[in-house]
Amino acid sequence: MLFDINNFTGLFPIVLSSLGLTSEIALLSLIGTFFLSLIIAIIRYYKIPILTQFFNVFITVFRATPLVVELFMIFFALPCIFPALKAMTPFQAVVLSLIFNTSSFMAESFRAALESVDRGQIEACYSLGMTKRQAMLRVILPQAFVVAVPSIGNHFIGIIKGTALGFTVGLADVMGTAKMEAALSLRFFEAYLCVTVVYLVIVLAVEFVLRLIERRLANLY
Amino acid sequence: MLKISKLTKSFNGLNVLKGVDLTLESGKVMAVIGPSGTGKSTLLRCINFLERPDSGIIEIDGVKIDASCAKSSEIYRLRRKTSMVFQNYNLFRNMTALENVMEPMVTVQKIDKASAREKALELLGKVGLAEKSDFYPRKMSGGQQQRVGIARAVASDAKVILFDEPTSSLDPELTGEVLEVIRRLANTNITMLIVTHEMKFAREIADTMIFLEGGLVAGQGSPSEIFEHSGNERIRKFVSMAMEG
Ligand SMILES: Nc1ncnc2c1ncn2[C@@H]1O[C@H](COP(=O)(O)OP(=O)(O)OP(=O)(O)O)[C@@H](O)[C@H]1O
Ligand SMILES: [Mg+2]
Repeated sequence: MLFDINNFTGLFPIVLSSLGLTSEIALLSLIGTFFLSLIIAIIRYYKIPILTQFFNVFITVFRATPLVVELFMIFFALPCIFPALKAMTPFQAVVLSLIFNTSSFMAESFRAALESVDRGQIEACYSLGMTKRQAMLRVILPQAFVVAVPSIGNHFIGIIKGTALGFTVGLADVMGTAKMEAALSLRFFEAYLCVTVVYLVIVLAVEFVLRLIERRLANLY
Repeated sequence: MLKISKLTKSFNGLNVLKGVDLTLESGKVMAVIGPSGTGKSTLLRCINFLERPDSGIIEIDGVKIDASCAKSSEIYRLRRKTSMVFQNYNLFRNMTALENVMEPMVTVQKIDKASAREKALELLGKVGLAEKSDFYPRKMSGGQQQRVGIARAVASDAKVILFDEPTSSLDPELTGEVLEVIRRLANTNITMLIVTHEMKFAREIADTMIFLEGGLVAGQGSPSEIFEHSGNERIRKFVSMAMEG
């Protein structure tokens, strides 16, 4: 039989049981990416010495290398040199590499969003006696955030898809589970079609929610 | 109230302010006039350190600061003594008219929200915008935005309000409403320094005027001294040109 429908439908409960792990990786990575990108963007926005140069190098490296290479560096390579890293779990390694990789792109979108707030409004803050920090929190960030939302959404989708690399370090996430099932039954088509459907549905659902949020934000101010 | 001595400022070798001295008493209105590019905006921006002056002394309501060695804590104290009304309004776009006016009270003066709100509503009423309090800047005309900008400047506890050409971005039919608001403010006890090209208006509301030229105060006096009895030929020329044009 070319396509075993029973095998195919039977795969869903098994694969979906690891959806929790995949979602956990994706959400943790999103939150981590959000904060790391924000910190990098603010540092580069204010051109804080030393830290700016440090993160410029960081961004160059993580933008220019494939996610899977970064993951292998973090999980397999670096612990050979820094034994303290041996305690790292595959889960942590995947989340970290997703955060570092995505932040190297998102920090740049955040900085552009910060810079989209015109100088005049910032001068208005200062002329009223506000501090730099107050101007950032009260005026710049709220506007920059709205500008950055579409890009945050796109990067989130990238993160969701990136979680599929978890299997390379032995995680039983959606992809990992499907791969194991395929190896057992030798029904590769059913297994990978199942993964395709799962990711497709998740990503389309997330995109739908993102469009709703974007539409709401477009008319916010 | 406001005393400036020997204020200088240069931009990469271009000396814009070459030692400006001026004194403004409490409750008075001073108009600053002069040709384009003579440093009028720069003077205002130096007074609240949006530009850092190279040297000179600025004293406002007991806060005295030497520009050549100003610490940031001193700069913050000085800035709270002034507020600025900008040519391009510069309202906070993420806040409604009401929130814009509340902002200096809530964030800088730490007044509780309820009282700030009440005071802000009262100020918006004074500039004729009570019914626009929930509008975001992008939904308001330039004239309305500028009136909110003025209410916001008044809401800060500034002792001196600095106006930099408050009507020059406005369509002619909208300048009237803004000038009217400033006129009413001038009749209260607020100290104001106004850069303007509206000569008739300047003449009408100013207690004193200075003519800035080439980075120096080239003439100073009451409006009638400046407009009718100036011994300085360049001032006479500038004023008559400006009155016609
Ligand atoms: N940030 C800056 N960097 C460099 N040069 C500047 C800067 N700001 C002002 N200048 C220069 O300083 C001079 C004075 O500018 P300023 O804006 O103070 O003039 P102004 O009297 O306000 O003119 P206007 O009537 O056209 O508004 C101009 O030659 C201007 O090009
Ligand atoms: Mg100017």
